[in-house]
Amino acid sequence: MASVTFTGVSKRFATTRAVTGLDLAIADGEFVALLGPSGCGKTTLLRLVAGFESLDEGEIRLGDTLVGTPRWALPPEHRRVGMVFQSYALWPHMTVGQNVAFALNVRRIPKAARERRVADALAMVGLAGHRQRRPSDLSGGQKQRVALARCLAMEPDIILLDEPLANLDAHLRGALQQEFSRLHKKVGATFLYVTHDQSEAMALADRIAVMDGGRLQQVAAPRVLYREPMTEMVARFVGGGMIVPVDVVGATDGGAEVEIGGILARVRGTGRPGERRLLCLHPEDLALAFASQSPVLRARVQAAAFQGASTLLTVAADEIAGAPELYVETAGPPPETGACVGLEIRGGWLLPGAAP
Amino acid sequence: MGDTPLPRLARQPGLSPTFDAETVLLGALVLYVGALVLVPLARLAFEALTPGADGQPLGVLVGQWTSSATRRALGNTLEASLLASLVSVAIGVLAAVALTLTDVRAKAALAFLVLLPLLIPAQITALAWIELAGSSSPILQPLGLAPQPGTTNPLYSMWGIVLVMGVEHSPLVFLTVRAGLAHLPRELVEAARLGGAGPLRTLAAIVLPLARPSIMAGAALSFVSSIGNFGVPALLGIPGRVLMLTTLIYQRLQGFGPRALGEVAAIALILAGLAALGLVARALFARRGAAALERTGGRAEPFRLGRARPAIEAALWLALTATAVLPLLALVAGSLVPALGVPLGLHTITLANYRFALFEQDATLRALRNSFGLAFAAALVSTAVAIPIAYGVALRRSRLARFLDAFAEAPYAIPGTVLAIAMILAFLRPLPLIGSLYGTIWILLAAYLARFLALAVRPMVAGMQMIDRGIDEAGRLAGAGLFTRLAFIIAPIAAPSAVAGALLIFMVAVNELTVSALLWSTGNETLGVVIFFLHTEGNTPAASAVATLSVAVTVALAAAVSVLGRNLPEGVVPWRA
Repeated sequence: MASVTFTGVSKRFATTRAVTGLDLAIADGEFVALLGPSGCGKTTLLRLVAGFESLDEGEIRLGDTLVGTPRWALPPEHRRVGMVFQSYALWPHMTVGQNVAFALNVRRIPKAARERRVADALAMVGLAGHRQRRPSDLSGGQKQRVALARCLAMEPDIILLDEPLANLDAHLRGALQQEFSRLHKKVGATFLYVTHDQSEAMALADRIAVMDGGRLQQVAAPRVLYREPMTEMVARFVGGGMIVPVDVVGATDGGAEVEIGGILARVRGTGRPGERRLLCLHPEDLALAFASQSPVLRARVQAAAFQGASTLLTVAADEIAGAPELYVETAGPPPETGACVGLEIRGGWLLPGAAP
Repeated sequence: MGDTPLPRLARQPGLSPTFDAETVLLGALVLYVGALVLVPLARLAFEALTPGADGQPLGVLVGQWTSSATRRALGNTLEASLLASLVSVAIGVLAAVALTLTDVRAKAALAFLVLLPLLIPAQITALAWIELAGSSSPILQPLGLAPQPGTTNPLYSMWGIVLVMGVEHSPLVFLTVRAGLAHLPRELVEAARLGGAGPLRTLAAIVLPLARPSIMAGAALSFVSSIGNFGVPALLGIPGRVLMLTTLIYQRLQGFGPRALGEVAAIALILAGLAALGLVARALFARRGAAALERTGGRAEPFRLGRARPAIEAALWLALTATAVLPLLALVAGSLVPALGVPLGLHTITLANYRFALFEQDATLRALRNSFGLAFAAALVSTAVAIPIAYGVALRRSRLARFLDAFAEAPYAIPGTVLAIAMILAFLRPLPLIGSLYGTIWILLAAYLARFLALAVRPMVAGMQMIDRGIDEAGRLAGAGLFTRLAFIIAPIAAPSAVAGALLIFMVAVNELTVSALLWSTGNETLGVVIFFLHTEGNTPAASAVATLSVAVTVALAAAVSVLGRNLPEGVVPWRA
């Protein structure tokens, strides 16, 4: 078992800076998701841990062992790191059993122990009866399970997962997510999971590291990330936060009072009166005001999407600078498109830092 | 790091074990390619560019450039190659258009006939045509079309060389143009048809102009092949007193031995320069073709030939039978007569030539053994070397491996005669430990290894580029070192491409003549050399018998490659659509 520590890590490719000045400490046995849009550097970071790429700056440690510096790198062969590839990367000329046993053969594990570990690993992913099958005979979900079993049989300190569910159907994804969760608890290895799907990251990870443009934006538990994003990018990317400019008018106990489009609202976060700031809102922070006593924000309904228990309305708040689009859920019959509605602001999170 | 204790493995700064095994392997490959390709070619350039006896800079080269014999050979080479390219273009373009754009039937069989000359080595093609066009032709004589007995064969002339080389290289144009037409956007043809243009008008105004870069690229390729051709000018030109650069070099070296090396190196450099011009032209045309046409959805619907179809099909079958099948029939017939000039009939037919060639003549038996041994060794070693090169190119994207890949192409792209001279220059002088290779079988092996490496690397790179890099990376994480991965992961997956490449090398090497003609020595003959000498000594029936056996082996190997190549990625089997 091992922790993973990045210190000042940078990686450039010919013209692009894939990772810049990244510091991150992942605890032994932790499940961390690397989340970000495509091209944000998350896969590069994973490949740096595996040893497939070399560093330009900084260093990487696995446990106490220094494995990567700009001048020197421990080869992937010796890192005790397992990886589940997006493409599965199963060896097509070997059976399922041979795929899983390969690392044990390379390490010259005695036959009895090897047989047991292969059987255990296949049982853990629910493929005990598929030992003699060829990868080409398996479905996508089964291939991914074999890839996982191949990884588990190695008993690695760290398991890297590179968008492992990206090529699978939606219903398979849910099942495999649960599998990953269960196996993480069972084997206790450190899991590093790359994804661009924030709901996947939220469902699985102890902590999520959000990356953008090669830089780390925020590292936090899913709940914290959702409720208290530190940057506009994190707010928008995680949980689909809406961003509106506000003026702080007063500080309250554990929060602040802000003015949005002419009305006042109490929100979480800290601010000093007179500051121009950005507010992060989620749909549950807004409600349609039918007969509210307090003043409401006026908005026009632009679209309505039926979601079953509720309807998600897209509204334009004309009284806020730039007339941003807001999303609000309503349980009753939705108003007509074009109708004017009043919005009540029930909460929100004041992003740190001044508005641009 | 400061005060934290240094972990065990961090104490090797500057040394990157990640690339340790890889460095060793790449180093070995650099030595291999360096010794077999770079050093010989550099020696050739050095030798050709030395000052003359009077100290004049570039004296040797200038001397050859201004000599009337070289001038005449250069003129003949240019004339024959340009005219032969025209013949190749005429056959290749017509066949490509008919087989890709129209609805003629039995396209696979017709394509086989078009491609057949590509499989038959030049000296055998030449021999077959000699049999076909000679006064005792088993095909023309019954028809009363054969030349009068006693007259020289009409193919022993510039026109004979042009015709036979043109047919021999027409598959190169066919393959290039067929690939170009296959990438022709269907919409362009459909738009022309909607605009009211008929099939012929569309062909002339749209298809052929768009296919021009691929036609020119094919013509350039055929030109380069003609320049380097030895078998045809040797069998047709030497008796016809039409010397080309390749045959001039051969005669000089035969006549004067290694003393003439300086001169022939200079002639070889001129030959290489000519080939380089052709190759540059081909690359330029090929790039323009790629830029003009983008690959699109599907192929255009073939033009319906309607009532003209039977006539066009008959013409195609007739023409292709005449160029591809009749010469081979003449060759087989020629191998069954007891002596040159005896007409083939039920009373004269005999297998004596096969008995003579296979059981009575030592040289043929030796040649059979030598050629099979050399071809086997060349196929095996080249494949073994190609696997790590292709791995470096396709899966590691190593710059050094790509460099090696590019250099491996050189000995196959330049004329074989040039390579042979380079090999003599590199291995004539005794080397430490191994001594002089000249006059031994080893110089033939070295030349074959250099010449055919490209044939192993190309299909292997094409095959490995289809492999997901994760396949190799997963192996690394499993703890497998470079050689373990190459042996247990990469090689098994690349095996079909490797076998296809190896069969291809065997097929070409077993019939090799151009390089062997300059490097053979007594006891170290090859099949190509023996066919050539049996014919020049006047024992044409025996030469035809050996040639017939060679063709049988070649066609069987080609069939094996085709069957094996069915499931392989594009680019592994060179003649596949």
